[in-house]
Amino acid sequence: MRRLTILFLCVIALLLPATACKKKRQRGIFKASDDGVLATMVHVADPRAAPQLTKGFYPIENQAWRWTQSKFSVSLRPPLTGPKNGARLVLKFVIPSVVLDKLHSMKLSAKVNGFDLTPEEYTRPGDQTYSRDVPAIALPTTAVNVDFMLDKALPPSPADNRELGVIVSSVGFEAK
Amino acid sequence: MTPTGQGQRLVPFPLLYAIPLLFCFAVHWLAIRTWFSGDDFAWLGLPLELHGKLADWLDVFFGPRAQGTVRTLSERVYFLTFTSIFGLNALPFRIWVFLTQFVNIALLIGITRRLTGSRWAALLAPMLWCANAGLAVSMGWSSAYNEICCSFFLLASFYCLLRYTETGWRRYWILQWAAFLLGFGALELIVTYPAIAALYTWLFARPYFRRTLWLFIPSALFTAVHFLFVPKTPDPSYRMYFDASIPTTLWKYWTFSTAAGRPEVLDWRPVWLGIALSILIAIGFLLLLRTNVRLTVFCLAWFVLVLLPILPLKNHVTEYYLTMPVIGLAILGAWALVSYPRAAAVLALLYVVVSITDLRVADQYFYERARRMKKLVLGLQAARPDYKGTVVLLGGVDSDLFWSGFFDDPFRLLGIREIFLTPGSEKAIDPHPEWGGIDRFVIPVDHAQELLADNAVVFEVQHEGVEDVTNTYRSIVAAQYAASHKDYVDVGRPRYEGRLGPGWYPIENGYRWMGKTASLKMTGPQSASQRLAISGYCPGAVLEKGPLDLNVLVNGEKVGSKVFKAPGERFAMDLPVPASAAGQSSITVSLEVDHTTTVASDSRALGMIFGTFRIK
Repeated sequence: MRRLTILFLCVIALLLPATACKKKRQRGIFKASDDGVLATMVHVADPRAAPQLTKGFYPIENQAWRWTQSKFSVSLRPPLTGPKNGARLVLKFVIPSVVLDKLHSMKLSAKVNGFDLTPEEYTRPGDQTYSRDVPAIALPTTAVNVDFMLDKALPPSPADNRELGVIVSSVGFEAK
Repeated sequence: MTPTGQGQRLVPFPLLYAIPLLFCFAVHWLAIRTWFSGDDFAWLGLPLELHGKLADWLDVFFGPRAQGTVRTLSERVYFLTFTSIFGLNALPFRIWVFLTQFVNIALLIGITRRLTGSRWAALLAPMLWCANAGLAVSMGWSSAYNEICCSFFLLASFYCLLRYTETGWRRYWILQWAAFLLGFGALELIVTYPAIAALYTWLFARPYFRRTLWLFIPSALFTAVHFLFVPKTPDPSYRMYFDASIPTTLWKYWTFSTAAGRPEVLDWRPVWLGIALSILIAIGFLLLLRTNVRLTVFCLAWFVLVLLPILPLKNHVTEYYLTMPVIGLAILGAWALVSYPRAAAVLALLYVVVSITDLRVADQYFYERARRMKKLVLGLQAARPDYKGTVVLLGGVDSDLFWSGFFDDPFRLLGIREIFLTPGSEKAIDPHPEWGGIDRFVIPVDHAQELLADNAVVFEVQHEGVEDVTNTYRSIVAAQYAASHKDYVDVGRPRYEGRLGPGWYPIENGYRWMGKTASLKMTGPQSASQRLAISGYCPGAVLEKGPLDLNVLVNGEKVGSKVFKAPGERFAMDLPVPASAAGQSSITVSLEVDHTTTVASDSRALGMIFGTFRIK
């Protein structure tokens, strides 16, 4: 009986620490601070911007950037002057050399609210900026959907089962 | 041979039990903190299936479930009891698994001591067992508790048999039967116990051999019932192949059991290390035949016999199936360590290092996977006290999170009847049609727009939980909707607000008044043959000053006009579109009336009422 009591106390002592941390881990699992206002410029590593990355973005990596698929979309609030003066769409991204070594070139095109912007072809790896003027006619006041399309992307492989396009750090409108 | 002597006195009783328990806890520390995932959510929903009828209870406890299994004790009773008392708190579930395993360890100590005659072996056997990589899932996943639970019944049955052959006391024989029969409520692998019992008595206690043959009757009956009455699963993973693949499958299990051998590199371990260590351990065990043929045969046979029923499942080689078979190897390994400490220590050390390495990787994987699901489910639980009649849209769900349990619908446990992914976000998820696909969670933008117009709420999955983004998402889905319906504008619905130019008054009863002039934007026609269709309503008040002229212009070019004379007329106009507008991504439709009207109670200058504009 004494042996069993010792064993039982040992078991309880082992299991207690696991219960002690319980409350601490429950904090911060729900946030309700939604003002309903979209950002005009989105840094993709900002968790608050996540709802605006509506399609084709993978999870944040290194707290700085996200890989995309060949098609990716974002919802943005146009600048206040957008519906009158138009705006400039700016996408900052990186084409890693491992991608370009295999694909040789990548052409990026975009649509703002269905309005086609001129595509651009990239043949060198490294930091890139896709920047295009968007006419006022394509910009409503509240929110606009921006679709990006790459003509090529790395297909899923055993090393990484994702389709990989480019590495985006930010996307948004600049006022004109 | 039973290694005895000085060494036995060096292991005092408290340490004999305390060291393996501490070792088990240290090795599987993460498992006690691991939340629910995958199949757990199906079992956690058992209370939802009880509606006070006897038939419900019978079905919940004894109805065949996944792959036709009826694991009443290890799944139904376990989940129903704990979820009824503790809800979604996983800790009591995990503590129960550890408590069961601690009893298993105590039983294994007793068994090993009796089989080998060595307290050192009794100390080492449970440690070798707990270190096995095959136990990672069993210890860390509540749905795999059946392995730990069945281990208890297997070990308890065998322990009682050993005591019976030692003492001849009938109560041990009865207890053995009880444990064995209850084991059928834990896992089907208990059918192999009679073979273990018969082999043991044949090798070590021959006078009892014939009595153990009675144990085969329940196993034979269970097997017959299983094959005759349980519907065969259509899942190809569970199809049995009685062919040349069986030795290959056995080899896979052997390499994983002895050296956590995997066909691909997961960490620092090269593939050859697993193969080499497996071969060396196999040779080492075979050499033991020279010194203790009975114990070696028995322990190796334990491994093969318990594994036998799953060897035909060549497409479903699963690590946690090894939980019970490796008990035999652990006993043999412990005895080898005591008998030949120098030679066996090197192999045992290598085994422990590679096995615990693999085990930690697996533990970490399951812990992280479950942790993300925990943040999501508990975040949703914290967000609202009641989801009755509420549809939920979820954004930010990636492939790992989705396949951690969406398919087993943990959301119904919170009362969420309908849950969907935000349109477009499903692109980040591997569809895996072989696992059932993701279609039931995918909706188009139009549907999302309609749900938001009712009472749907939208949550974005964040690193540490969920965030209510319903307001933000309204703007997003409106933009998506507008982008995908550019050839249509309903001025009487808020979602098209972004398309309207100046000159419009607020929405009234699904329509809008224009002033003297108004405009809107929509996509141009694909071809010049398409036409612009306009609908609206002409109230009597605007005709008080006489007939009203309406002109319609596209990109500044007049495309049609209409003179209104009849009050209260619902009208539809079908107009050509200028050839120059064809193919344009955006055109401007302008409207102009020749005069406006002001009514007594309204100071606004009113022109005409409009509804829809469509390129057709």
